[in-house]
This record gives sequence, C-alpha cells and structure tokens, in this order.
Amino acid sequence: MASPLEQFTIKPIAPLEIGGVDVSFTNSSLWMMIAAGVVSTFLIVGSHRRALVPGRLQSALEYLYNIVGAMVRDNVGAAGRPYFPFIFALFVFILFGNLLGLIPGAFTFTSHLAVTFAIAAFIFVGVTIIGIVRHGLHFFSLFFPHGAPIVSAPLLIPIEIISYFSRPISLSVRLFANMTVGHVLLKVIGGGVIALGGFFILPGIIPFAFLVAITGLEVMIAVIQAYVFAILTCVYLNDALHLH
Amino acid sequence: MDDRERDDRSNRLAARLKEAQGRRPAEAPERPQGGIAAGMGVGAKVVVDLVAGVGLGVGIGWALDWWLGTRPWGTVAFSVLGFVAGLLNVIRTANQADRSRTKE
Repeated sequence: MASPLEQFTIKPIAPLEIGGVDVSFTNSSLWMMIAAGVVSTFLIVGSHRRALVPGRLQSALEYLYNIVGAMVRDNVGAAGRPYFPFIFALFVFILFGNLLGLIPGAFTFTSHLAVTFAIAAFIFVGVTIIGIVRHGLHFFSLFFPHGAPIVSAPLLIPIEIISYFSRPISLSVRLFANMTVGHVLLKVIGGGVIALGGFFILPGIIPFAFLVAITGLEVMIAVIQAYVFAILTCVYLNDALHLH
Repeated sequence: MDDRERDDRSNRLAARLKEAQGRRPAEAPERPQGGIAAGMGVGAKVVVDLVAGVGLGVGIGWALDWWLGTRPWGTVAFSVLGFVAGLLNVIRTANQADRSRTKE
C-alpha cells in the first residue's frame, strides 16, 4: 500500500536548472498556477457583467469581497484600505490552494512549509518595513510595552523580540501543519477502507463513513486556515501601522 | 405601474437600505464564524503560538552557544525566554478572543 506521505512528493514536470539552482516547474508550481487561474477566471467572469442585481457568481464574489473588506476594516481600520488588494489576493490564493488540494489526485501546495514560510516571511519583512517607514525609530517601541518599569527592560525586550520573530514561524507552521495532518488522516483512513474490503461491504463501510465526515471537516479547516492566515496578517499590519 | 407608484416603491427601498446599513456595524464583530469553527481556529492558533515561541527561543540560544562557545547557558536562558514569549503570545490571543466575544 502506498505511504500516506507519498502525496506530498514534489515531482518535476519540466526540469530546469539555472546557475546550479534547481528551478524546475513542478507539480507544486502547476497547482499554484491552477489556483491562480481558477481565482482569476472566477473574478473576471463573475465581475464582467457588473449587474445592479447580482447573479449567482457575482453574489459569491461580492460576498468574498465583503468578508475581506470587513476583516480589514475591523482589524486595521481605515489605514488598512491601501493594503486591501494584497490581503484579498493572499486570502483567495490560500483559500483556493487549500480547497483545490482536497480534490482527489490534486496536489496541496499549502501543505509544504517551504511555500507557507515563503509567504509568511514575505509578510513579516513587508510589515516590518511598513512599520519602520511609517514610524522611523519609534517603531522599536513595539518591543517595550509602555508603562512597564524601566528596570524590567533587559528581561522584557528579549521576550518581546522572540515573540515578534516567532510570528512568521507560527503563521507558516499553523497552515502547513493543518494541511499536512488533514491529508495524512484522509490517506490513512482511506487505506483502512481498502484494507477492510471496500466501500459498501460491512467492515469497510465504517471507515468510509468516517472518511466522508472528515472530508467535510477538512473543507471547514481549509476555509478557517485561510481566514486565520489573512486575519493574522491584518493584525500584524495593524501593529505596524498603529504600534500598540 | 405608474410613476408615482414606482417612486413610492423606490423610496421605501431606500429607507429599508438605510435601516439595514444602520444595523450593520453592530453585526460586524460577529463576522468570524461562531461556534465550533471559531473555537477550533483559536485552539490551533494557541498551540502553534506556544510551540513557535519555545522553538525559536531554543534555536536562538543554540545559535548563540555555537557562536560564542557558551554551551549550555545560552540554550538554557533562551529556552526559558522563548517559553515566556510563547506564553505571552497565548495570553494575547486569549485576550483578543475574549474581547471579540464580549463585543457580540
């Protein structure tokens, strides 16, 4: 029986090497492009009619827009408006990456730490630069909660710095771990179905019922994790724009 | 349908729209999905926050020891600091979750 981790292997589709660095077009790149393509098609087709009374697709699109709009408004406030397009693109890309990965046979690029950490590191560096540009050296007051006695500085500042630098780690590990665990679980229980004799025979139908329920749970987790990723980006952005 | 009737209807619609928009800010904080889903989101966040703090602290301590040759003191000190930082993250998350709950 295939290993439950086999689904995460990166397979090069078009091998390519530039300056000794492997930059092959892989199944991961392919599914990122599919996600971007599906999102773009959805947005372009959904918005091209611009009907006053929206149709089904346009309604879905407006709903998505409103969710992200409310998220930015509630967590960052009016100062967050310029960053709305980025948050929206981030949310939709991760959401579709997670959801498309649930299609049997598909590859889930968000189940790779390399992918999620690259996104999280980009956000971390970007947010830090925004904070420093906005507030200059005053930005570093983020590392010392005001009102604390100055004597406690040697202890508090390292703690705050570690807490700050743990952000991209927790942001990326959370998404990666949720996706990986979910897919391993699906594969393991799927293996159980086969081992117990198939879908509609008595012992096999029990894990199959679990599989159906867990697939539903995975859809929910896919949406929640994309939402959490985007909302935390908003929280970090808010810290950088308004300090504490 | 004559003109007056149409005006009347569009006025009523405008009034209803206004009323709905007035209601909206009060509803906005409820946005994050309630119930089990929100709880699981917070749970996952708390666990990873704690582990990330400890992990990063140990990593920094280990790197400092390797660089300064002070083994094992850097690892000891920074794993504790990392744990506190992780705890700080957890407390902040919990406070945030509390605040959004009381707002509802």
